Amino acid sequence: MTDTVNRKNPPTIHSLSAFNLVKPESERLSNGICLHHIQAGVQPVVAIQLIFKAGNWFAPSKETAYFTARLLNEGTKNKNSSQIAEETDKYGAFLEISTGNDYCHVELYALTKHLPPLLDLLRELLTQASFPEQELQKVKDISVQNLKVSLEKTSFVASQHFKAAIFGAMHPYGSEMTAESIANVQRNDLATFYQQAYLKQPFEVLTAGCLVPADLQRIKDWLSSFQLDVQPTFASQPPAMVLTAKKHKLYIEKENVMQTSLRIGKPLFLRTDADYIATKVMNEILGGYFGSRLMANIREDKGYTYGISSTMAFSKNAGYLLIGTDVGKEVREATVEEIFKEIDLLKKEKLAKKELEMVKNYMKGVFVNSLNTPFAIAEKYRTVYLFDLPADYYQSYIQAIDSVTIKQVAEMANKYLAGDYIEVLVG
Amino acid sequence: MINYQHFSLDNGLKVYVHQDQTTPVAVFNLLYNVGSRDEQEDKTGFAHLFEHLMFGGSQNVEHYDQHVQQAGGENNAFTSQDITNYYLTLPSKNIETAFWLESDRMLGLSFNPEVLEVQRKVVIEEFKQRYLNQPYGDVWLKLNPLAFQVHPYRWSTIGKEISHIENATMEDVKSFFYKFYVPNNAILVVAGDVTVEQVKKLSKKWFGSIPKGEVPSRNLPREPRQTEGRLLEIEANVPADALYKAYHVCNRTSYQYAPTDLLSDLLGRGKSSRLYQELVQNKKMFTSLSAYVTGSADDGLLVISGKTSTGVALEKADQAVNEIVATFRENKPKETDLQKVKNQAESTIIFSETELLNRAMGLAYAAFLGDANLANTEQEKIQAVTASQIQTIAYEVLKPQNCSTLYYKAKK
Repeated sequence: MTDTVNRKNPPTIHSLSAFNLVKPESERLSNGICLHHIQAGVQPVVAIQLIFKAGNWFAPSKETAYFTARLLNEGTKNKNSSQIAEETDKYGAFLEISTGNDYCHVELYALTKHLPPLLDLLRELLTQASFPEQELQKVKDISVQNLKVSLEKTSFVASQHFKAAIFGAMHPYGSEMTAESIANVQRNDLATFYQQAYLKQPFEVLTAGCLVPADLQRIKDWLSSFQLDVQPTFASQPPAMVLTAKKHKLYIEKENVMQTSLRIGKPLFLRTDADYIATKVMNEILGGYFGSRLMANIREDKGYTYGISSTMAFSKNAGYLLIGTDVGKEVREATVEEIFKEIDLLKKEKLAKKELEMVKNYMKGVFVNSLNTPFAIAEKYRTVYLFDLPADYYQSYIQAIDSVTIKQVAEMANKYLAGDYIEVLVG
Repeated sequence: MINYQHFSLDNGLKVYVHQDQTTPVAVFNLLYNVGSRDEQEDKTGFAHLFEHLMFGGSQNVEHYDQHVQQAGGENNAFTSQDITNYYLTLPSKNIETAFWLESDRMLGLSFNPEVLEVQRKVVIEEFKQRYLNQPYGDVWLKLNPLAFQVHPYRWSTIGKEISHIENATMEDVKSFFYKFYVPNNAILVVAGDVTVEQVKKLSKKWFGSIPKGEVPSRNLPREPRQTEGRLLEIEANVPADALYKAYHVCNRTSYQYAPTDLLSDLLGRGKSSRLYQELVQNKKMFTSLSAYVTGSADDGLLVISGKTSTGVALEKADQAVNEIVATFRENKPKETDLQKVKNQAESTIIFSETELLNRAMGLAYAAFLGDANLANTEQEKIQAVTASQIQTIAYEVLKPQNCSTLYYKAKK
């Protein structure tokens, strides 16, 4: 059979110039709660996400933030841990509670037909959690064991040391739990923090899915019934801290491991900074996607690793750049050298137009491709609200990427990749 | 419900189209009917190594990834014991780029020796990173050969050992390609913002002229019925003891699959499951404990796994699990419990279908199993399961002589 197509000629590629992102309906309720709803999708499902100012930043300690959240579904005045699990599973719902540097996220995913009993359950967890002593002990035991498993992973240990080096071990973003600090967690501290951070503070709410008006109204009525103090107060809040980059090199040798985990990085600006988009494009070129320079060099050319990436990480009050990879032990120093070579190249050599165009097309495409579920759209708006970005931030995201120039990428590289780095190697 | 239309090309390529115009995005999913079960015993890990080589250039395309990225797309692939699956998500107006790239690598690879050299190293680092340099990372390397003695499921997709990957030659690569990477051994699903006419036209244009191949008929040895319980003890540098129990169960297409799946959910899906409630919540013998089925194309496994609490001997923990397992053989599950796991399954399926990529993969996998519509009938099958069916399965499956047990002990 003869081939009738000219395979040397690739199909024409169309660049994306705009994308119409679904807008949320937002409303501040009389008790101070802010509700944002994303109406999207066709399946009869809903995600309800409640965001409390109850992460490490707002808590007396990381342990307090973590265990308070972890015990929300381990007992209330009327239900024990087993009954709560039974009630959630009975309706096939997924309840996910997680804490981070700034917030505690309580997420409920459910079929809309089961909404009423699940809202009742959720209210109970958020207003009547009882922090039973024996459940605390159970959760502590599980946490200590999980921590021990994590500490066997070179990647985990390297990330811990990196965070301690960049923030300082006393900073809410830099402190880490230990078996000892977990053992010292007291029930009463959790109950007190619950009073402060969950029972009185207005919280943000994002809902997403295909809801009929009656269901949305049901959620509004439910939220309106929370009795909160409209003027929030916090016992303690550390001041925003300027991170200083100072050279820091740490190698922790581990016997009996086959790979070394590398974490190399430095402080960056806050998420709201005007340099964000141009730096994001610069970082993407360095190590943000499969075709990045670090991947091309260290995986595809040298075969040192299964993967390497450079990411920009942001919490509300800090940002940093982090390059991470796991490599064969014997090539760890060679890898560090290659990473700095790539950083230097990006600072010194003019970027080719073609490479910039490719990375822009990729970033725009990924942005649009990722928005095919109501939950993914809600995720974008979550970033907007939590970082206080302009309301139309993602409406103009494609144009913002398109506007980045070769000159800007070079400026960002010289502004943010210059100077000293923190280098942590474990393994 | 996943709507779809189907047609085949003369060279045997099966094509399925799922339309969804809600966002300007398309998914291109190409499944090859080859997995690690098709490997020779002395050349394991090959299907997966080959997957890496598919990104190393084809006859008319030097850098596959660059073109995908240029088109605003993302792509990836995975290899399992049964299949190798390649998928791209991209803005729908660039869908033809996916046809061009995928048809070119089906037509022929560049077989560049340097690519083989580098990808061998990358896969060896993947082997280390995911299986050897992680606590408990090697568990499947131990459990598979314990549970399977004859069937090729006895080795893992990553391979039995690193040396098999080190020794792979270009000749091996070529023969693998010509054997399995042919249109009549592939299933294409195009989903999203596309039309059937458009997909027909593009499929014919780009794939139509690729010649059909001779696919060797699959003649895998059937795993004989296990008649005696097996026990393996290993020691490693891990912080806690872990217990793994694997029972032989039916394959994904069997009429017994839905009740077997629900049985594993009753045993160990989530915090309200029996094993978790009894042994983590009440007796505190474990810090984690769960159960699931592998759902493979040939007969697979129901696996129970967990980590024991400090100071609890594995023998005791195993005994406690066995006692609970035995009650499932003797009693029908309660109707309320059955309804609960059905509700969990219902919502899992619906949530998964919110993602376009999941719908495309689900269709491709169902078509691979023999009928694309299986993606739509799973829900009914689960809802129709009765408590007595579950007990019947439990009685057969959860016999001690059908079980392979692994004690994964922390070195003192």
